[in-house]
Amino acid sequence: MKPTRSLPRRTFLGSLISVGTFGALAPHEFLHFFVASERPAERRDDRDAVLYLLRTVFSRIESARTVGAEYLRQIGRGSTVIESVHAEIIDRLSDSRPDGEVAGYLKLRVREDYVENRIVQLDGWLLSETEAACCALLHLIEDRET
Amino acid sequence: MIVDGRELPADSEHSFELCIVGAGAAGIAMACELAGTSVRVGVLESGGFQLDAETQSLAEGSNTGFPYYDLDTSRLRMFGGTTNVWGGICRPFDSRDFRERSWVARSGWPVDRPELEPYYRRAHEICGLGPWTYAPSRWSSPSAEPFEFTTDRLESIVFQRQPTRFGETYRDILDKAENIRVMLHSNLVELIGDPPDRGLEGVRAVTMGGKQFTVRAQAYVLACGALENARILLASGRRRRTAIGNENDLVGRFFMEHLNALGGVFVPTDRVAASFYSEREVNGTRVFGALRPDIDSQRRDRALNSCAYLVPASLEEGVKGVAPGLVSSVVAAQSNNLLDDLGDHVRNVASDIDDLAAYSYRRFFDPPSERGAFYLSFHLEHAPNPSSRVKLTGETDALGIPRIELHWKFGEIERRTLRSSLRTIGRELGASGLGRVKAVSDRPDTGWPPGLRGAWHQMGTTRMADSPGRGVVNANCRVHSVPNLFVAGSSVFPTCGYANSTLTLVALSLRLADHLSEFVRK
Repeated sequence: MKPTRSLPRRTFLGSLISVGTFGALAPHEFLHFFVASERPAERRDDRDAVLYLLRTVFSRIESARTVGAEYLRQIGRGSTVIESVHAEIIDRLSDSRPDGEVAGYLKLRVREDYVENRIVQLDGWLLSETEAACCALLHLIEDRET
Repeated sequence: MIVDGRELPADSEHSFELCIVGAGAAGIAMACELAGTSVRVGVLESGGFQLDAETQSLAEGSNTGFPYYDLDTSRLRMFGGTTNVWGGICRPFDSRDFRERSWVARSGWPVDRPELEPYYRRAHEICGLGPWTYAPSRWSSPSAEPFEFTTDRLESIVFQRQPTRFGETYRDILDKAENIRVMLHSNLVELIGDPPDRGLEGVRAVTMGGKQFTVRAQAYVLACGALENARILLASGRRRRTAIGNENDLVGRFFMEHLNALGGVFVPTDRVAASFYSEREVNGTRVFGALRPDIDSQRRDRALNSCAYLVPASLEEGVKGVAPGLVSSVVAAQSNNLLDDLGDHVRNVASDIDDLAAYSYRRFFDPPSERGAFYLSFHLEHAPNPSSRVKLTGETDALGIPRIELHWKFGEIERRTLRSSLRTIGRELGASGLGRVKAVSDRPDTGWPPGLRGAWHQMGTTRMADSPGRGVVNANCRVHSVPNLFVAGSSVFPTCGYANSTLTLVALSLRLADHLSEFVRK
């Protein structure tokens, strides 16, 4: 079932700002904190919403998780791209945009990555930073879910 | 007429207006162009109609540079030359290949592409190719369309393929031509004339049995291939202070080969058809497509020209595909497990991302989606490099001619070209929603992907340039220092692009034939 998304945008940005300093220092930790935190309850809603969206984008979850794990393994600690993608998704979802529109935005961003040479190499594969980050995000959230 | 040099009287002299040495693609193209004209032409050919081991052994030499083929197996000394075994892949050089590129040292031809255009058209006929057009739209069909790209960074190009055997195809024409005399089993052993700047006075030929004869003409053309043309000129130095044409120490230098490397893997997303890039027949003409980065990408990355074939990644299909010679490379690539587990996951991710893309790309629901993968077989230009060269050794062949040593050398610009080209292709295929690309890891011992090899296209040892300080021959393919000695073939290429050399060398030879028919009249 699709999760409720009642979180107003302001609250959401507030949540981001509240952990922003920590996130800037240790983005990977920041992500784990952000997606796994017990409270506030809205964050859980948001995590579900992001997960729901990413599951809409990726029909073959295991593949996305595998690519995401490889990306996280390679970058280790710290990817401002994952943060940025996460924030963009939340920002758009909190504006009550339809999932399809947000997914469309991600796909457009992937295209722009290739055009603008924002590429990562995973085991030789040339991937857009955004698609790798989406995979990593899915991996992180699902790991926390389980 | 075609005669056997072994049956000519010993120590005889034979006079023509033009003497062509070598009956391979260049020599036969010139002779055919002059057949039926008033120009009397003598053609000396080392071999006969069949390959014989004794004659072929004259081509033995050594390699001291990057690993290369045994020299006696990389070209054929027989009537028809290496066209007896070639694959017949043809495409004219790009306009950019003829221009000076600020980032490629010694680039720029003294001849431009428009000047060669009429000769390319004629060369097309001689090579037995289809219509003179390489526009992708001309060779597409509803089931085989070129990819639609998002930017101009990557272009689809077309090759034609017709392995015309010049020896078989043009034997009758030359045999029946009254003004042509082809002398088989006749090996050039000496350029006669001293000093050479007053012109060659003749050439001495000898059969494997030791019978000698002399050919005299108003003009002489060396058309023996890039290794042998350089060898003949360098060997002329045995009886002179300086070898003919080598006043500036350029003969034998700038040896070039097209670098062929399986540099990557392309995994198309679902519903992407790539038939355009497989060999197929269109109205009787064999064609296949390839991918080429645009000139701006090459300029930005200071890269050479290049293209990539799409070779089906399954060995069986690869063998049947556009480049049968790639079998060993495909085997090497498969043993390196290029299509690893991550590849399938990448394809799935890419398909999910691209399938719902907000931008358009080619989708084919019928026929069913192709879920294959393709090796990206790169054909890279080789930069002019004075250290990549042919030299004489102290050893001699059975006729007393010094053997050669090939030091094949290339380096950073070629490596940069492969990386740049791969990245350009990867970016554009990704941006267009067509699939994802993997870069193949370099071998630690060579610093290159497994299977890197030459394409049996030997070029550049007597390069063409306007000034003697920059090249051995001038724009008319005449040796700068000798008024009546010319060179035909790919040894005159100042740069080599990525396209197979035969069509361009035939076009240049036809242009030379035009020039020489005027020259001998004067």
